[in-house]
Amino acid sequence: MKRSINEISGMVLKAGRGAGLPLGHCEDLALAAGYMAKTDPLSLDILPRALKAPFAAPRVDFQADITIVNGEQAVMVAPIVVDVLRAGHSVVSLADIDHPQIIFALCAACQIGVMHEFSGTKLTLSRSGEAAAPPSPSPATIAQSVWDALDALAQNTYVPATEASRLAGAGAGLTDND
Amino acid sequence: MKDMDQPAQMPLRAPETVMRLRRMGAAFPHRLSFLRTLMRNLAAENVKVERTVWEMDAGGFGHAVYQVRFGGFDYALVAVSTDLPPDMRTDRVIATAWDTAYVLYDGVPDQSEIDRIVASAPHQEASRYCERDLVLSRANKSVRLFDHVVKSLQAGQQPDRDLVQSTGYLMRTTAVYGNGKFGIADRGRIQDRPGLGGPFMAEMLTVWLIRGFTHDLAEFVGGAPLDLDLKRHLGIGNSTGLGMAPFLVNHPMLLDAWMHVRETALARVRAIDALSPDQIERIYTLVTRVADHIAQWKVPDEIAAERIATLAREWPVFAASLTPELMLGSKPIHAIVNASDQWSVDTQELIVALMLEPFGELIDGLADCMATPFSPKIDPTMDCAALRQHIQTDWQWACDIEYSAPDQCAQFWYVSEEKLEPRLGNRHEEDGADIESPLDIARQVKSLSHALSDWNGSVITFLAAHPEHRSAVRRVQTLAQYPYAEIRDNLISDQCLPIDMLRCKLSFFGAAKFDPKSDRWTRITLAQGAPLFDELDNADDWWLPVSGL
Repeated sequence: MKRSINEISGMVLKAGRGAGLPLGHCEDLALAAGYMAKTDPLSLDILPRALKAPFAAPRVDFQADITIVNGEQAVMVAPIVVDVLRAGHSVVSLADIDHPQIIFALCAACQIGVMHEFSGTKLTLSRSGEAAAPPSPSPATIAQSVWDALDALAQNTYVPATEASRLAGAGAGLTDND
Repeated sequence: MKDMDQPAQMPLRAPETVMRLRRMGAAFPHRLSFLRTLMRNLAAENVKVERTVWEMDAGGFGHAVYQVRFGGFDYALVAVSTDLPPDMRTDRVIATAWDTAYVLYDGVPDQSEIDRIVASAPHQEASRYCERDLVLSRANKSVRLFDHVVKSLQAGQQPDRDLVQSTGYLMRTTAVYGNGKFGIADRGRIQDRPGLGGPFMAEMLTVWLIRGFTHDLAEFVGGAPLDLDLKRHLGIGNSTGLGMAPFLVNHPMLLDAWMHVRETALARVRAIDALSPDQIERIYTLVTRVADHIAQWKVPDEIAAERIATLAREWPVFAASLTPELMLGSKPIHAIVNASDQWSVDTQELIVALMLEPFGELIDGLADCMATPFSPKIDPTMDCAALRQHIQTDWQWACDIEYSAPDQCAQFWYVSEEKLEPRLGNRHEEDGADIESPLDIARQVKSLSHALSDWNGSVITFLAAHPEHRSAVRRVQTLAQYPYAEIRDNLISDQCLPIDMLRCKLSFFGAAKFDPKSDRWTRITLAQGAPLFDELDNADDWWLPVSGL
């Protein structure tokens, strides 16, 4: 089904929270997902697999000419990579990243140009100016199975209704024929 | 700000004062509110509204299409009217059927597109839409007034003026969806378009067109025209609940843009050295209009009624203070605003809105700054000492709160599984706090402050080690640059009233006649007194309209 970019980003944000991903990383993942939806909707398929808890904090090792980010989960590593590149460090070394597309997408969404090179399981990112502005949003097709998997995670953030919550809801809950 | 030719201005009111919930909840519409800006822009282009389709049966059930060309683009409101049993009519967003449903369509819809919308729009959230659909909305009749108006017209009479005045609208919208909801267009589709690029402009255009449709429908079923002054006084109602409340928290830079513009506008008018006789006369005229407006603003809610009563008591005293000596003195508006802290917060904020009104030439250009293309970013080069300093400067109030105290964590925000709508629960009596929505911004920042206390080095290394604080770091850094980006109150305390957040946002839409039904939902009136479709040549003098009844 076609979904708006806002729907996709919003669902990914909620799914991240439902999976237990730290909030700030959820916000960045939603940004990346919006970019993926605009440019390569098929890549959205990886998102449910990328949201596998537990989520471990990466370790960052600044060396003279390269920054090594130790961590395998793209959803945890991608925001750190953006931080490192934004801070002026031009080369980042990663290894065994589960879904590098998320890192590429977040960099592009933040308009950080990067070149990448794989060598076995090692991935090296080099800053290359600014990325092109992302294309204008248009709806993207996301597989129903992927949407359902994200929705299942998002549901971990929903609170079941009770009689008390219904009574204390947004409105009076009455018919209104004034 | 885009407005490059900067007029003189006084210092802005401090965010620590402006961004408190109680004051935000006392906001009034003003000339930079979105509906006002839209009307001016429509008038500047001499926009014509054309009703291209009217397929209604005698009872007023069917559909209509209104076409406008604005900013070089065509837009159409497709309106669908259905026969709704009274027991299905509810204000709440969770309803499943409505008297009328609407889509603002991007372009000129052909018959197949009209057919698609007529089939889908009445189902609202239960249908899917496409990127040509810009806004989705629905409205219920104010049965009491709609039926009365129709019957009066059918009897060859005009409706009872008191009833028109006390209700103020023929229909009330219960949702106006934009930005990608249910498959409609993302805001990005229109954000660079002339006219519709400002915040909520597409939604406001929709609301204004709906209002005109409600007039047409009543006149069609009634078989006679309404008197123009009556018709002009019939705005469009709206019911707004908790669903709107998190918006201001989730869009900090947009909140900053709105508030910063309003405060900049105030700072500009405060810097006016002297008023001309015409400007003084204009202020006196508006002061009188405000008094009449307050007199016509009647609500059943006891707390709101008491606040309005206070306004009504204070306003004549304030008006009497506007002596010729004061008005002819140096920097008179600055003096008036400075002196306003003797009044209630409601009166203070009404004075602010009043003082903006006569000075369009000085402030209207600021409306271009109310949308922002930016989103919050982390500055990874900042060191932790600087981050701590920002917390100390901007968030000390948040760090001073003891969140384990029952009253300071009494409430929690959540999304209901049943309706997927935001809710506010009692932490001490209801389940679900373990998966609350992250609107506890102040508590998050205090937690960040603790984690930072013994950390040296850059934000990068801190965030790598403490990813749980990433969102809070982003907010602290954003507020350091955008001082009106945060509500400076604890949103989970027992003192947090969502109605304050709703009123702040609605005032920027241009809403008036706030009519709270609890501390978490309110009715309002939009576009009351606004120009009719064929009155755009006189589009800008309807702030706090008064029925001449």
